[in-house]
Amino acid sequence: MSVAINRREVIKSSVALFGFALTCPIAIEAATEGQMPLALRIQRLDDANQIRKLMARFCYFNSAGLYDAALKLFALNTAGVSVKLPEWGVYTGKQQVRRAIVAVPQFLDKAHDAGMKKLFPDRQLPSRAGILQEMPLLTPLIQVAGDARTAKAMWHSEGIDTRFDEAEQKLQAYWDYKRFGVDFIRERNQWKIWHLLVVPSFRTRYTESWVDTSANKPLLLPAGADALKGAPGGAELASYDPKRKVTVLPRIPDPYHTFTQTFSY
Amino acid sequence: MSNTSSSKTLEQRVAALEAILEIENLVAIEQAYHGAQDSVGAHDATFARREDTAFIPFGNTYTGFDKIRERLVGSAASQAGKTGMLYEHAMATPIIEVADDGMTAKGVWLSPGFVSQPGGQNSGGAVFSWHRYGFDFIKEKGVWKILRDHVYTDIDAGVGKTWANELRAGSPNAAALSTSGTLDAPNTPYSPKAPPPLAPRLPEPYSTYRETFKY
Repeated sequence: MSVAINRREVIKSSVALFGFALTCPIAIEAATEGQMPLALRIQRLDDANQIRKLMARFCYFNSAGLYDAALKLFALNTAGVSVKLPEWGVYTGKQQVRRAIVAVPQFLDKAHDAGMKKLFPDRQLPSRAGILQEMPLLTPLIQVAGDARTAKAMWHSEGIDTRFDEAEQKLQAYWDYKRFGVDFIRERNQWKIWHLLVVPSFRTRYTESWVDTSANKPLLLPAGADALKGAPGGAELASYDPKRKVTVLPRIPDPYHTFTQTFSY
Repeated sequence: MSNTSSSKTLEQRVAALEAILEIENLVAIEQAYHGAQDSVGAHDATFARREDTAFIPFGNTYTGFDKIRERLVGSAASQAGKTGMLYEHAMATPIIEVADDGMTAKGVWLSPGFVSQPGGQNSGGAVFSWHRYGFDFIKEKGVWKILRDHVYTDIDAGVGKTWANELRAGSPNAAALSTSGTLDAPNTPYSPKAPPPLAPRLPEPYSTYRETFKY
């Protein structure tokens, strides 16, 4: 990790991480030359691994409908915690993040359950029967800050979803491809999701081209969704459109030392 | 012959793990630019500025940082102004080996990708386009860069279409490139007439670049 740091930063970072200052001559000399002490380098590798696992947990919890567990992965005690969802908008602050991570998927699950009741009126199906949503994480790009207090990362996710189709009034299988841009922050010495940006690549029925879906057969949100929408989002939340030129989203994170030197997802 | 992990110093082992993280980031950066149809940006940000740098897509070999750039600028011009183009080659299943000397590395990935070229013949131009990658990497001024980027075709199939037929000639990505490279590199597209080979060759631990193969 090519992040040059100085003596003062080594001491400050090591106090934050280990509870004591790395003041031995070798560490200071190495820092003076732009090299991090070995302990800090190992810490940052461990941080990257923790971040991988944290984001994977988020995906597994969502698949299983464990939205409260997913919510606990967020930095709910840190100012500016936020979620940006395609079609839904921007949610900022603890209560709004709860809405995005728990209330929105629960609303979608209830709409699915109601659809299944219409399809199978004589059967007592448990909630979420027929749903299969998986978000595998691919193409990781993880930058842990030089001060190891925050990190930035992005992934591709080539997923599947399976739920009641409002437009076709049947159970439907979808390709659901997206990209994640995420800021992480160390809260009470645990890595948490601070800013979550979900950029849609496309969502389409499994037999249909996403070009056709976008142009001719748009997918619909269930009735009542407007009440749960967040603040309007930017172009980064827009779904694939054959009339639009694609840009680099999420923005690629460069190495950085402290969060004030970088952008927010 | 490479040192085993247990015979390396802690410093060497940490440096190798850092290299793996940086190389995964490097490959992600290349694909992020590519996803925005900015192949020139991808090239400039990730390829080593050397005469022996090689880009080898679908059997074509382009050699030299500047020559590769010329080709990409040419193909970018042919794509300029087009909307609805979508290229995404997610990178999965990496095996990365860092040389004992810490100067080069090798890696392979599977890539379940997709491409949109509205107006194309397949499913309105929406195609699942899977590749495999073999990379050589080199440390240039302390930063990891791509030395050789060898792209192997797996399948190209329109949405809802099978790939278990005769392979269509060329792939959408190959068509987007100038085809004036040297057609001398191995490529391994799916064929119902042949068993799938192990390609790219998997990297093994090694000490220096002199003693290993090139992708």
